[in-house]
Amino acid sequence: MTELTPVVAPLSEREREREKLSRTLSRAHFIDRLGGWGITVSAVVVLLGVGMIMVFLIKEAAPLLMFPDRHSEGTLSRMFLPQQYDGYPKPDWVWQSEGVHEKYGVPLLVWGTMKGALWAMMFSVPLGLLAALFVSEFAPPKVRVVAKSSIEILAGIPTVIVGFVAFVVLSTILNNYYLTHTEYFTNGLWVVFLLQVATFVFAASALGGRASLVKGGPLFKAFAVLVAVAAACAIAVVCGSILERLLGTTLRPIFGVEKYASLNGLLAGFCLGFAIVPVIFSVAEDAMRAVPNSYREASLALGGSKWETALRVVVPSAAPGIYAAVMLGLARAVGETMIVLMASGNTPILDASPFTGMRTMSAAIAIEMTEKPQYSTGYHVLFFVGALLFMITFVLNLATSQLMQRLKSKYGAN
Amino acid sequence: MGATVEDIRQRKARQGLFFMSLALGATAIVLIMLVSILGLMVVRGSKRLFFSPVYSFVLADGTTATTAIEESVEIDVPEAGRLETTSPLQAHKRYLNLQIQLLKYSYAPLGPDVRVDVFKDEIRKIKDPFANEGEEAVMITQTVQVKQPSIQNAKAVRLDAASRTWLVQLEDGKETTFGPEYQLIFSTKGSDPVNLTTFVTRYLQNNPEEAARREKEIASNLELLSKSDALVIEAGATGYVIRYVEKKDEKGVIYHQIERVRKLPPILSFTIIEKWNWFQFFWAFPRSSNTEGGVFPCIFGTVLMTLLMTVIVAPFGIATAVYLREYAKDNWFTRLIRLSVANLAGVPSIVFGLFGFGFFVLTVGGGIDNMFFDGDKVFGTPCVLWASLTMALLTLPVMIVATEEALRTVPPELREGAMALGATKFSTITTVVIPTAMPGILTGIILAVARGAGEVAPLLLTGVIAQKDQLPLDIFGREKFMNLAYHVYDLSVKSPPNKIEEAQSLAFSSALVLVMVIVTMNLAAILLRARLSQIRAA
Repeated sequence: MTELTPVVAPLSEREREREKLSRTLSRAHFIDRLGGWGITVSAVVVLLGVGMIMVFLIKEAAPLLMFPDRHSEGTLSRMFLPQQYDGYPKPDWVWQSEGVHEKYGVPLLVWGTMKGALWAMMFSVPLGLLAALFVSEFAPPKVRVVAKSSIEILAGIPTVIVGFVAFVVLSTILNNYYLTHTEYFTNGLWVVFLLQVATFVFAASALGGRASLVKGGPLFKAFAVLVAVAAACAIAVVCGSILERLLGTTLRPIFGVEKYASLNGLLAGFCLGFAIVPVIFSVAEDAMRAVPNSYREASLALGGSKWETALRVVVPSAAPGIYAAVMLGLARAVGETMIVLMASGNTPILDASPFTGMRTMSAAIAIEMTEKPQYSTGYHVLFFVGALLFMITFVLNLATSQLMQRLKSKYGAN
Repeated sequence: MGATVEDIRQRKARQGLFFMSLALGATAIVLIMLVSILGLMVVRGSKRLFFSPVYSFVLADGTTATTAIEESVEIDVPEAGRLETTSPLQAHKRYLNLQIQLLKYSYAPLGPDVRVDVFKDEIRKIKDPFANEGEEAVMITQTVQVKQPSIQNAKAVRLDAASRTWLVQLEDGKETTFGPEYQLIFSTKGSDPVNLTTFVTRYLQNNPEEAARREKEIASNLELLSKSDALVIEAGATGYVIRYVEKKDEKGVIYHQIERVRKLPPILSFTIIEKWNWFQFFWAFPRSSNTEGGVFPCIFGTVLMTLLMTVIVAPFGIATAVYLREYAKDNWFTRLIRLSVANLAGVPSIVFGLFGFGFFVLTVGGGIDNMFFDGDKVFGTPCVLWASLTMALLTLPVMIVATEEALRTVPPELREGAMALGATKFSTITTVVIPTAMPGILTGIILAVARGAGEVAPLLLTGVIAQKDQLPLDIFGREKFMNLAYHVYDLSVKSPPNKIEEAQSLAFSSALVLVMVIVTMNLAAILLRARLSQIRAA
């Protein structure tokens, strides 16, 4: 028989152990409290930092309103109402932040921002939404992974690179084309427009079923539509010059192409669109993926085709998310700096033509801020512009997050 | 008489096909955009990095002169044989015509002073004040030993169009003339390699018709056009060489001083040597208002700024995410933090710049200056410190969102297990939760760095500079810094009109480097995340 050893330690030893343990525990408890506080404090710091942006922008813009006598060139009425300046035929908005009489026509900048954003949206919304629909509804899983990753990489490409391409490559191409084909370019434009409409009518009728003008298989019809579009462009180019000769006059003023700048709203808008397509895509795609599969299955079971399901079930269900995507895209387009700085020419003019330049709010801040002494009128005006820009994007972002919230609560987070 | 089911089915199929091809087309366009922008960067960017041409010359006295580049491949110019059969004069004039055609559009008329413009490391051009518009003179550098100095301290050189003589104005006001048989050599301060001398020729287009005719003839003969940006050479008998030094007067205006003159044998033929230039590109400092040399300070500045930014953003981002995920109760405070983080992500980058400039630089920096430095501008100027802080604020949402996502993937069993073993909440977080979520947090850091490296707008206001000779090594980060992304902007938009070509080729290379780094980082983040979700699914 082996000798039994006592399992329980002598009392004094146990007490020592317990004491040690409680000391360790209280130290651990102390560290725990400290760590918890630290984490909370850093969260508060982050919140303060974020709040500081808004407060600071408003604080620096406020003197314009509080001391209008000290900033006579930057009062609300001077900024927002047309002013009669020396050497101008009629009251107008002018943005000219240097010189003896500084002129701060803020609506010019807002106009420029909207002009760029509008063209950007026209280009990027259809592209982004359609791509999102394809990737979420039609693409096989492998294609989806590749497409999503690629578009994520596209989103990561710095905007300065896009602006650089616009400035160096695209503006040259546009310029060369305009200089060598002015006639076609300007007159052909409206014919192109008319013929595009005609083509779409034709396309719709071709695909419209029994009343179709074109007989044949669906692939043949798709091909026919493509040919028709191409033909429309070719005809338009020819018609443009013929029409000008027949009328004996130029039609350029109708399209505002009389004035032409190589860095212009169209170019800036196109490149902005390039930059915001990924934003629209990813938000819209997420929204469409959030629609539960049971919706799709129900539609398919009722005899709906795949595209019907996509268009009539998924899109309406994901509608808040799609609005959110568009709004987020708009917010990006409004706030984007480098692309407009490089591609828009930065001319502060009030002109709707896509072939003239503009100056956006962001570009104005980027160009002029470092030249303004602290607390000068220009300094405050630029902060005012910044605050305005912040407000616009803030509202759009808020709306976006509310919409996404609604979508999430509708379908649950997944 | 209604449509049959079959009819409806067919119509639907047709509509479906149309619709799907539309959606597919949109996706394809987006992907093509990505590929084309990357392709453009690679094609145009690698040209300067890897394939900058170097020239080698055979002179009439039998000596060969090349720019001193090793590891090179020689490519014979197709015309070399013919060059030797004709007289040197005619042969060289062909190339000169070619050159003029190339330069016509890219060069704005310069001021009244004769000015030397560095074209590539080896080739220079000079605008002749007497030439008609569109005419340019060209010069080329090569390794020729300069032996007999005879003119020093010359102030300017001009060309008399009628007599085709060079008028060299000395500093004491005297003028010396050189006949059309002279060749002028220029070298500028920025063009260092000491053993490189320069020699110039110029050509006057007296007969435009003749010139136009020849241009075509030459263009059809020479593949060279596409390979080289500039070539040569005056003809004639033996010429003289005048060496120029770039100097600045008290107003900072650059002028060129003639140093010495030497008789040169005419050039018989030349060869293009391709060289690898990438090492210089990465390690050299920029020269001649950024259009020459490398981008080392830009890379250094970008790395420094993003490093500082990461040091600031990572702890705050992680702590906030931990708070939101592990500590926060569902109350107004938490909702406020979430809301502000979500909105922070949508604030335009220029507004961050505006805030950084107004708050960090002017208010905080200016405040420190007023308190400790008697209002001297020590911290109150745009610098790397404030730029990093601004960028940290900008990348904060990226960091927080990614970290939260990572924390979400940590299974609750792990937390519960740690708790059950007696760990406190904080030690559970530091020893179990964060290490488990580390790959996801790393993804967040990578994304934040990628964002920070490519963003320019806030830097415009908070501390970037176009060119700087020293690295920003100040320990408090009180210096301005160069930045790769800003470098691309600066080169393409702000370079002088007569240097656009050089600037753009350099800008493409910088853009290539930037895009590659950022794409790689984003790709790494994507792969890391895919890996994570695989692990989670398993």
